[in-house]
Amino acid sequence: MASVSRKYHPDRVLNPIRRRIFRTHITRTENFVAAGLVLVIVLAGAWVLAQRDNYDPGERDISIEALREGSIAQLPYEAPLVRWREPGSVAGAAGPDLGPFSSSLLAGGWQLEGRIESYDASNLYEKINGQAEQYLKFGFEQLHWANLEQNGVLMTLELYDQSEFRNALGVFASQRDATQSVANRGPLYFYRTSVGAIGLAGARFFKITGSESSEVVSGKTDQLLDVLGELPRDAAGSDAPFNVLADGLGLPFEDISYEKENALQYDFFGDVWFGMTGEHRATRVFIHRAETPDEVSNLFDQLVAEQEYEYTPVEKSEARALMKHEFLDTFFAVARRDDWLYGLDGAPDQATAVRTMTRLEKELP
Amino acid sequence: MSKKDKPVQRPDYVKAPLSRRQFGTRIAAVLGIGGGAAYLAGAPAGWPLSMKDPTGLRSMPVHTPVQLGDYRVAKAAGVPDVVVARGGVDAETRLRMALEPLGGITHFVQPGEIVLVKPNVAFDRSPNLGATSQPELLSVLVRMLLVDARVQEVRIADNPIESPADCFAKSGIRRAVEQAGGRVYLPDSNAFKVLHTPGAKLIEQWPIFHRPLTNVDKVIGVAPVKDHNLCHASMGMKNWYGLLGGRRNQFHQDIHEIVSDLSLMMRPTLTILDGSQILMKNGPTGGDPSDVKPGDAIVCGVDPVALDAWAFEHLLERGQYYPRYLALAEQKGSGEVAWTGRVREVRA
Amino acid sequence: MSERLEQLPAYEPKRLLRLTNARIVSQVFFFVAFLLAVWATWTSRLGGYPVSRLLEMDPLVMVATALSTGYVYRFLGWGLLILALTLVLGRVFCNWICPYGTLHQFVGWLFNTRKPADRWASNRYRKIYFFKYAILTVFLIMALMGALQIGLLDPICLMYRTFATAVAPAFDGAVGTAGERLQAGGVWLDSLKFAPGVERRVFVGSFWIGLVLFVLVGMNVVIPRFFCRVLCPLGALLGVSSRFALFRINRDVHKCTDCNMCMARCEGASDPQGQLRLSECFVCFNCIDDCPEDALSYSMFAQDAKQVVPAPDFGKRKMVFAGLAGLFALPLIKNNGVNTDENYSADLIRPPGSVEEEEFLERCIKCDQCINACPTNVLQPATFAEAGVEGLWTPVMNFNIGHCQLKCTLCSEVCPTGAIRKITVEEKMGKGRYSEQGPIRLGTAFYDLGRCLPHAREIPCVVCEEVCPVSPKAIQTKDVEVKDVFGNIVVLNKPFIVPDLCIGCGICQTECPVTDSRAVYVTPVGESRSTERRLLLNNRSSSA
Repeated sequence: MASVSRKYHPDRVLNPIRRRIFRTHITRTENFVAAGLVLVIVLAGAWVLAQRDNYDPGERDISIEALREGSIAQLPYEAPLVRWREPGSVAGAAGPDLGPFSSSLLAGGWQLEGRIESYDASNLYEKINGQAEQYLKFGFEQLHWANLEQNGVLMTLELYDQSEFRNALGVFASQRDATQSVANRGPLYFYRTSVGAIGLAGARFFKITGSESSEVVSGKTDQLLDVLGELPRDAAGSDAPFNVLADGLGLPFEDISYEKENALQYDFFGDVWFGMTGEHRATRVFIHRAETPDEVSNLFDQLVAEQEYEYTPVEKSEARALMKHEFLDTFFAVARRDDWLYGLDGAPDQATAVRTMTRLEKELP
Repeated sequence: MSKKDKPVQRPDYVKAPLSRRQFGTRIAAVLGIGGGAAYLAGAPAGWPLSMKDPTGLRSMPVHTPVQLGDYRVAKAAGVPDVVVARGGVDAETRLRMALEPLGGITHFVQPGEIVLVKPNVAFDRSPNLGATSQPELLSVLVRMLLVDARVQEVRIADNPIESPADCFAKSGIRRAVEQAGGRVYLPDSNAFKVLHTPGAKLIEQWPIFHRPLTNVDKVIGVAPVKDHNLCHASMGMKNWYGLLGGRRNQFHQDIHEIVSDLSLMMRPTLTILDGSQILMKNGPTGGDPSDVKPGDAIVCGVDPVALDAWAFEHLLERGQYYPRYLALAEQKGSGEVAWTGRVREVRA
Repeated sequence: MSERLEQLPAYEPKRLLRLTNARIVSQVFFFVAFLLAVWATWTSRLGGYPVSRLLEMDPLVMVATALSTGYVYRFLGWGLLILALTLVLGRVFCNWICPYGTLHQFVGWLFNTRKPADRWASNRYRKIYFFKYAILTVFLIMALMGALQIGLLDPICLMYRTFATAVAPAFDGAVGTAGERLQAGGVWLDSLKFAPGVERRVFVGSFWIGLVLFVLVGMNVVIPRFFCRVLCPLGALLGVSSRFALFRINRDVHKCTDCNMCMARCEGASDPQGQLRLSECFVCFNCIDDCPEDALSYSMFAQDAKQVVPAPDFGKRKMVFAGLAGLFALPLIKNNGVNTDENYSADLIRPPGSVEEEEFLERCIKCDQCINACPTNVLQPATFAEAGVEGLWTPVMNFNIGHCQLKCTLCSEVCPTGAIRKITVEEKMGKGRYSEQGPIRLGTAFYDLGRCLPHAREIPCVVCEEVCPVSPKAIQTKDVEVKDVFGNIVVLNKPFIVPDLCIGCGICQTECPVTDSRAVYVTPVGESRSTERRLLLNNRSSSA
């Protein structure tokens, strides 16, 4: 058996032989050449490393001047958003869905930007963060919000449905600029601002805001007021007592007020409309509409009884009473008919009181 | 086999029988190895050293999620939530002006802390294209943190959409920040950890670029103000998107939810919006100088929601039709949109 | 001067400063330089390192591209340096410079467990060693006819390609895993210092590229330096040139005792014990070290003309057959029909700056430097499916993996042959001086409307629009409001491509969340390098 030396064992992995040389002679020239080659290699290495900072990839960029020169001012045409239409809705087929508004919303070449957004009490905060509360506390039901655009001029129309006229009035009163006088146009009460208008239409409170103060905006504001005037007037939207005072007696908007409770300082008397009439607006008429005639009758008796502490009756029946204040000499009158309770106080003389009551009676529906 | 090779039984051949001891050792080895293996493979899962996986779920990888702290600092009374500084010769004066009403940088950062500054470095664009944070402002901020507030380390990190090294180089941020003494963290393959954000709808469990957040004491967001095709504006809150890992391109299916989730994930010490190069259109990538509007504002604040709302209205000039994510962020308790009365404007 | 060298201590300068030692220094230097080049071919490290210089010094690259194109691109003139060295000193390149030769020599030496007698035998010249000349002839004939295939076997190209696409990712992976393990132990290994990127890079088909390396290196155990002796076309070219070399190994027959010791470590199998096969000699100087009689020397003077066979063992007959093989291979490759202007793969998207396909194939040497440089991993070695036989392992863009970054021109910077012409960002974007010709377009994006979320699924998405890097964006949307199947009204931004603006960068495809078969994808039609593959007659955009 030939013994395999351990060095060359077939199962060995690595080379067993150390590097050895067998030559006997190395010339000086070879030494010099070898040293020279190593030197060349070192120099080559130094050269490579010196290339490192030739340039920085971060600087391989385009100059802003070149970009500016080649800048494209022209923007691509963007098709307007196509709105969802319920299949079969004919009204929508003609154009965009205008929600509660009539088509004259877009009169004068105005475009609807986006759709008419609507919000209810649960998501109002998404639209008007922080301000939602002042609408919610006045019986807010729905907000319609329209953005209109024409030649770069933007206008927004906000329409807050406050469910009842008196609520809308409440919102209006809280946001109103007291120095502005309120104008009336049909069912609308509003005042103009420099870029639009603020006011109410029935049970709805509205704001019109333009992006600039210009003829275009004020013209469109005018036209939008007409659009608002055409809004359907639902029952809740009109308040009969208010109409008596405003339309019947022709009182200006500023002279009409509403007290939800504690009218005439009586805790049993509430939901009363007041209007100032006569010279110096001294005579104050009031109207209350109850649910039933019985209720009115009770209220009438209670009121007369309470008033008698300070007033002396001049004329008194089951449905009417006229009284004179013991010290001030002003007259107080109250009457009832069906579910209406109405009257006045502060009349300077009896004639005025009787005349005003007659007018009031005539205007009641 | 030829006859010649046939083994011959020699008379002197002595067998070497298996000894008792050897036999015993073998039996013991077989029993030991076999028994051990049987125990490891068969013992119920709860037992020590058991490898049994009865349902196949035990061997699934488990990620222990990390959680981020709340990096906010208590606010002194009478201090505005948002400060806007306009004018000023350079970013440094502007930044100082903006921070001063808030109590200065030292109010937010204590000496010896580690601070993460998160710029927006999403694309490989030069800074004058408005798609990334401005290197000048970052360098000022880093220097301010190191010199004025004497912090231990300032880290700068982002996980860009494009190649991280390129984005940091081309936006000029790497150079500016490193010269100022900050340290840039680029995302490497082991830099991500699963983050648990309680209350978040989309990213309750999501991988986040966690390496720069490890042991960090304060976090400052420095964001450009940009148009965004889908969520209308990319500002302070959207900036935190750059810390997310994973397949984040799905989030566009519900962009407002994710941005408000981000505000829940990160409660920053301070948010700084840079209104010097505002990307007005073609966002968030930009790329054309005509998309950019130069400005002179720096907005600092502690209420990221109010900050974004203000900037949306005044820097991007988009009016009050705020993006929906602001309302959602308010719902998630990250701040309040209504900025009226909480903003102070200072001018040089 | 006749003292026994063996008695000198090993560290004696006289013994240390031997040519064989200088050779090892040189080999280590060039091998390290090669590794540095592979490592530095990366955006944050590149600086100004001449990372492609080894390729540019390769005379075969110079000769073959000069044959195929008629010109010598950029730095390819460096190849003359090597040719000149060869004409003076012989094939010094093979054993002093070539990193691939170094790799083979080192592996062959490390695992060499042959007994001394077998070592001599393994270094004896074999007939098969002529084969490299045949390969060279085939490649050069094909190059002359316009099909450049030298990259398949040119050692420098082959090694760059293998290290970029097979070795580097393996290394990245190892670094990543090591980092992960260390991280569990609380130590942070900044893997970015060693390996690039967030995601580990992947290269399609790198298995085959790696397998080639594995097999060729493994062959050293069977035949030492198998690749260098049998296959290397560059070695063949240098072998042909070295027949005129001024210096060579010379044997003093009066001193020689025919002990054959010189063959024990002969790298080139060049028969130093008999008539030196000059064109096979790698000038490694091992034979001189190994001659106990000092009969071998390396010199220009006092050569014994009887002791040399200068020309390669490649007769007329073999040359004619090889030439015929090249001539016949050419139509086979060219007429394969997968890469014509009528029928080309929708995945054949070339990197920005690439010249037109026919010219591209005349230039690309498949070194895959561009692929290594690419910061987003979008560049991939082509498979047969994309580029046919002719374009195997040439660079193509795979937008499922990455995208072409708008302001990156790295691939064009590192390309040694001008298959990807060196371009600037300005040229790539078509601004300034280049505004007439417009931006470089790699292709055009299309939508798969059946898979796109807003188009087909009533789900908002448009990541593609967000990331589109051109301004104005080449992806625009038609905004439509629909009532989805659950009754919610949602606004869908349905994206569409404006081909006039699209530059085919592919980021839309990369970022598309429909990840398996993307809902938006780029195909090469409309690429600006080609008029044959053009899509639009007129560009409606005012920019171009």
